[in-house]
Order: sequence, then structure tokens, then C-alpha cells
Amino acid sequence: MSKNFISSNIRVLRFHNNEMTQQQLADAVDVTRQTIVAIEKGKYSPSLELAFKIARIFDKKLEEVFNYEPLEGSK
Amino acid sequence: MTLCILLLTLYQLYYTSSKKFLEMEKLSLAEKRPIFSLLTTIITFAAYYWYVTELYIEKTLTVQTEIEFWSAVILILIPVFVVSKIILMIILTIINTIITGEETRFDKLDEFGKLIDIKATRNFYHVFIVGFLAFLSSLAFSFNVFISFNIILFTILVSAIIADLSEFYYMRSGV
Repeated sequence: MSKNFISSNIRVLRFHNNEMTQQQLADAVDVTRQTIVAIEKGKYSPSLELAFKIARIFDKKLEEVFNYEPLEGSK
Repeated sequence: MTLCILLLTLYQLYYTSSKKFLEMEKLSLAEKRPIFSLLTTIITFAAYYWYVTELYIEKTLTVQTEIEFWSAVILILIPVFVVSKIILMIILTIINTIITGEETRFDKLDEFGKLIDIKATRNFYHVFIVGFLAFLSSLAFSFNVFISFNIILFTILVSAIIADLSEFYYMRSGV
């Protein structure tokens, strides 16, 4: 299975956003809760569209929500 | 008559176990779906195969009619699977709506779900191709018609099981 290098701050942002639940965020961006769980755990890299939707919910820039950290040697 | 009683008992068992299972908080709806799909596949196949075997024992078949019989069995199995999956979705939606009191959409697939679906279908085809080659080999080596067609029947079952298990695995471990 391919390694995902994209991590996110969604959990922290949810906490600072009136302790928003995963289900609430999932409903707001029209995905299932399982998708939010997978993104939070770094097991799934969302599409650009979904990433922008999530960033917009928290009123943040994309880079403030998601981080790209490739391992040394990989581009 | 016996078949009706068996089917009713199976679905009664299925209904009570699925109700208990849906009440579990540990698994999300997306994770429960492939497990139910797996259960439906196994129950439907078991009931159908039992019915077909009863028919097969009753009949006296020549090689030609045996080929026709098993071909029909495989052709009918496909719509049987489709209908049973539709019934499963309806039953699950009703039970889950009763339990949670919220609108439930088991068939709703987002981008993560679609990607998992594609990967699970890929695994289905990989297993099916191996089974199909085994089926063709059995014909080429003049195996018994019963054995040859049972290879393809069980290939369909195993492929469907692999697809459901893959979906559950990818849902938990990510893609």
C-alpha cells in the first residue's frame, strides 16, 4: 500500500471550532464520517476539491490545514 | 415448502443478528455495510446452492443437458445476487432508521468510498480470472461437468467474498 505523506490538523481545528464532531464536519463537506476519520489518521489523501472544502469550513488556507511531508529521498 | 421455511428462518436469524450488530457503536455505517454484504452473499449462495443441488439430485441428466442445467444455474445466480443485495439495503436502511431515528443512506458513496469500491472490484476480478482459468483448464482436461461448473460457481462466491473483505479492509486501513 502506498504511503501517504499528507497529514492534517483537522482534529485540532475541530476542537477549536466549538468542538465540532467528525459527523458535523462530514455533513458540512458532504462525505461520510469514515472519510474524515481516514483523513485525520493520515490513511487517505483527500482530493483537492475536498481539501479546499474542509479548509473553507475552518476559514483557513489549505496549507494551514494540510501538510505535505515527503520522506527523504522521495519527491 | 421446506425451502420457504429455511429461507424464513435464515432471514429471521439475519434480521435479529443485524439489529444487534447495528446497535454496536464501535463500527461506523460504512464499515458495517461490507460485513452485511458478506453475510447476504453467503446466505444467498448457501440457500441457492442447496436448492440447486436438490434439483440436480432429482434429475437424470445426459452430458448435454447437464451442461445446459449448470449454465442456467450460473445465469440465474447473477440476478439472484442482485435482488438479494437490493433487499439487504432496504432491510438495513429500515432497521438502522428505527434504531437511530435518523435518515440512513447505506448506498451513499463519497470519493473515499468510490476509491475503495474500485479497489475491491479490482480484487474481485483478480480472483475471478484465476477461477475462470481453473474452469477452462478443467474443461480442457475433460473433468466431470459437475466439477467444472462447480469451480466457476464457487469462483463467483469466493470473488464476491474477497470483494467484501477488501472493502472492509480498505475502509479500516485506508487507501
